[in-house]
Amino acid sequence: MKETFQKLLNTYGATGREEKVADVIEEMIRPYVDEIHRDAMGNLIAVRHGQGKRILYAAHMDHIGFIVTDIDEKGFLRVHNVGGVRKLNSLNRHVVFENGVNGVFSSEADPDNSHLQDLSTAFIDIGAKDRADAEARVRIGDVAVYAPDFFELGSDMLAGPAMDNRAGCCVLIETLKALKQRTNEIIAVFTVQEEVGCRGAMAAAYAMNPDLGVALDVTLCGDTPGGPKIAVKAGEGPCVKIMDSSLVCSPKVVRLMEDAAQRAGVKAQREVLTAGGTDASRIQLTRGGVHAGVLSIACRYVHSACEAVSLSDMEGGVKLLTALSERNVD
Amino acid sequence: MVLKELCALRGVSGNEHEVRDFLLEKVRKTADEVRVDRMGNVLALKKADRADAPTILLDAHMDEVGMIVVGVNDNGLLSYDTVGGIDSRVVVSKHVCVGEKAVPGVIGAKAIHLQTAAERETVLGHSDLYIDIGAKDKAQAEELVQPGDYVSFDSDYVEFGDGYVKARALDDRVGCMTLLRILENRYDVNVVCAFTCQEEIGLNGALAARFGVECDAAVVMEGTSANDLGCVEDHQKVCSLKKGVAVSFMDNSALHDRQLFARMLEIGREAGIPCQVKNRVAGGNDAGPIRSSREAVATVVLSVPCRNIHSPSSVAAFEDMDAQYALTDAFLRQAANCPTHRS
Amino acid sequence: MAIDLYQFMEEASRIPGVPGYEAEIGRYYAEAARPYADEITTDALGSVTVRVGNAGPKVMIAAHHDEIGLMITDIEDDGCLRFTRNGGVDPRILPGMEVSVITREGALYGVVGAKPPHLLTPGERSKALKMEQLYIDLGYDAETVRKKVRVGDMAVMLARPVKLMGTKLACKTMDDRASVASMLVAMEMTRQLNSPARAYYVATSQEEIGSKGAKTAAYSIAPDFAVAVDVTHGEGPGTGKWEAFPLEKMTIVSGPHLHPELTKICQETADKWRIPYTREIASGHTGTDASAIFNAHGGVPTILLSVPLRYMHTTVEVGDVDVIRDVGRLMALFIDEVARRWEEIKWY
Repeated sequence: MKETFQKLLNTYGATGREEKVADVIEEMIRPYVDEIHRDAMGNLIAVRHGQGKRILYAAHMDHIGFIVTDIDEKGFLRVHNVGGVRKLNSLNRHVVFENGVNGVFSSEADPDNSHLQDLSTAFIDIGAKDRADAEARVRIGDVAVYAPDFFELGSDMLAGPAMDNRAGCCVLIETLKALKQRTNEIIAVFTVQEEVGCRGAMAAAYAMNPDLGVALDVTLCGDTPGGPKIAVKAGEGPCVKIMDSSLVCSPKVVRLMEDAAQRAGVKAQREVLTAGGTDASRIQLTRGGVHAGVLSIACRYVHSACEAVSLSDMEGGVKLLTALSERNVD
Repeated sequence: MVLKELCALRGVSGNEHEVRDFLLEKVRKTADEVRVDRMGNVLALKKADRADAPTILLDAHMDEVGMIVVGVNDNGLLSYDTVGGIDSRVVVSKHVCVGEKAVPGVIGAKAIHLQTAAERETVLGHSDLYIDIGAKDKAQAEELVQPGDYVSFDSDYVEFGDGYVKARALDDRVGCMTLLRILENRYDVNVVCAFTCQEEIGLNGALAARFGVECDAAVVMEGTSANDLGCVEDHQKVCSLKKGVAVSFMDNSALHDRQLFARMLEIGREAGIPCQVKNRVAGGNDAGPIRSSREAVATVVLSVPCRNIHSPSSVAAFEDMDAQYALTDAFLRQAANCPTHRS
Repeated sequence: MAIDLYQFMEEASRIPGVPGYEAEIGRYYAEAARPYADEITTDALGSVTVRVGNAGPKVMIAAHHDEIGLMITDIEDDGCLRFTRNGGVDPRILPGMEVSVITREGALYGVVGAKPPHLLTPGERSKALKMEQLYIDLGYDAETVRKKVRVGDMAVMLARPVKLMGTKLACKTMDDRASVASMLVAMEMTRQLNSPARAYYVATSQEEIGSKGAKTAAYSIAPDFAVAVDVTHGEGPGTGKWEAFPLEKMTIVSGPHLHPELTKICQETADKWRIPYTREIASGHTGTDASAIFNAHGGVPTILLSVPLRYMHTTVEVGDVDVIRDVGRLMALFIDEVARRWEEIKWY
């Protein structure tokens, strides 16, 4: 799993610019699924046939970043956020574009810290001599993300950019690899544009019309000093979401997931998040309504360049999801 | 259980007759002498089984915090004032009873949808709140209520959890219950039980009661505020439920007798009665007027810890009430040897 | 056999049903509706649909059966519970509130506590309490609490109904079980009138967190027209001009989300049968299921009726029981009128 994860983390895939990471994932899962296609938005949709219910899993591939809005005459790039990327977490950080161009995200001097959230004073420096030099390498509309830079944190954790949500992608890929039985029709969707409002999942869920939907995503983690108020800890197992600010998970799905965890011998945590949202919120409201839930991986420092997740939580997530896929979900 | 009956009685300060009548009926069966003084206090004497015994005054107040109607508005809503200290935060979205006919009413608040962001941050004061009895206008409201009607919280007695009770007026019906239990015994000291009125609006009952009683020491039975939940630091807790009766060395109304304070803790330790020291100076009580009006007398306060005090939903633990009784009882059993301060 | 609205509210208000967890209140609604129903279905989001009538235009009637409530977020070492809201609970009504925590083993009684007033600093005293400063006291030690309660368990506020003067009732969950009650009044009348319509009376789920149940139910039913019923603000302390209405009359709402011709027919029907109403204007989103239904499936002509309540989203929501009955009557009469005139209605 670690190898899969590292490959995903090293691949570019910004919100709205997910093609590269989709290519990598498609390559990884091809041997394990029966059908595979991409829709008009770029969602990667794979199906592994089975007899029972149609279970849709959604893991978003996109990664928050900065979209170039203007290039000034000195060659500096002005940007707007794509998704919930924060200036404070990004100052003087290494960023990278899809074509590999490196840059430094920075800001105009701000002696009284009054512009901490204000992107109008932020810019990306790609070391260009002037506008022409910059335009030769980057175009308006290109998206920069935190450059890949993961590292081991203690014995069980990995930290770096894009854990949100390559961790979820990785769990889904490894689940597809682990599946043996064909109890249910498994629809694995690697979604686009989650970070700007779960737009990919909305279209994919409508098209695939599932009976049950589970999003795989990261969640906040309450185990750091003065950290977020949430009763979830890294390394204590995958999380079964009960509620976040975007949805109340179907009690039926919560029950099925907890039952799957128990049968797989996985310790799972119950998660109540008072913020945030996931693809499940859109899946739930598809057509006449879908039983929806979320499997979360606790993640420290979400939406920073040092997001940290536990590998054992992810392994637990794979076991849970495999058990869920291989049971009768009536 | 007598506590359930006591907590069902409506006795806002100044309007304690329901409680008084109930107590009189009870103490007439157990006390040797019973009288009601001009203030409205009930004084019950249980004589010692020997002559020239010292006299111990036990005090518990019968009144409770509540409200009083000050005006009927044109839209039929009632404006009120508080009688005693009530945090306006605890009355919103609660039930009340108005006047002698116990007309049901509610206290509402402007819907959250209609509040501005600033309003959501501010505390609604009593002057922003109204009692709604469902009257369509002033005339209809006046068929049932008038200014001066006393208003009490309407809240059920609920036993819950592992030995806890939620009720209205636990402060100080718990103390009244302890005195009723004490009056069933006979000691070798004279025991005067004063069930006082108007404690919540200035300790008035106790002041009058003290003038009618000669005593050698006084013990006040209270319900006091506990702040023991929500992960608060120990020194902020005042006292904690299920840690026994809380013994006070000082309240805002009195600095208590050092020896009596120490004696209570010692008795508790010797007899294995759970006791705790009230670790914050908070609130005043009848001990104030008892200690220093007329001749000085040694006082101490024994309190049952109550969460959400002065709200419709105060919470106490039965074992703390038992500890209040047990410590008082143990004290009275050896009070004959108590050093007296009577001149 | 007219429904006893007091009894309905008394019983319905006692059944917990926070958004996402409406199974029990849904069953209660289904039972109450069974005598009039041709078919009863429950969908994935927890909405319960009662169909009355087998032929004619399809009308969806929506009133939500969920209630605002709380969800446990953490269990502290002293045994108290921390919580967040599920739906728009005003934390200012919570100190001293009695609650019921719904656990695996059943309901547990608790009381909401906060730091006592005399221990507050003057700064704290002037600020409203926030959700995270409050806790639920279950009267058990931490070890016992951890055995009984799990993070993610729901809690509801407890309050018994209080009959006030005249036909006024103070009760929790008047929002919006009063409207659910009006649907029961209406379906009985729809039967009596033998209206040529297929009426889908839907107790919708998850309204309080964004009309989710109404959205998916409207997709499934694909109605020809719709009637949404919800509560609106009653005149009371602090309410401003035109944002709150007299308790003694329902409101018929107009605005861009609501169909002008149907709204007009509804008003005419009310006039004809001498059912009193006030006009309420919703300049955009109505904040009700109406706005989730009207744009479903290529557009559903929708009207909105409302029951004025004082103190909405508290446990002492005050409304007038006669208005609940009037809403039910008007709804049935309106549906009957539209169904009979179906072919001749000029939509635009």
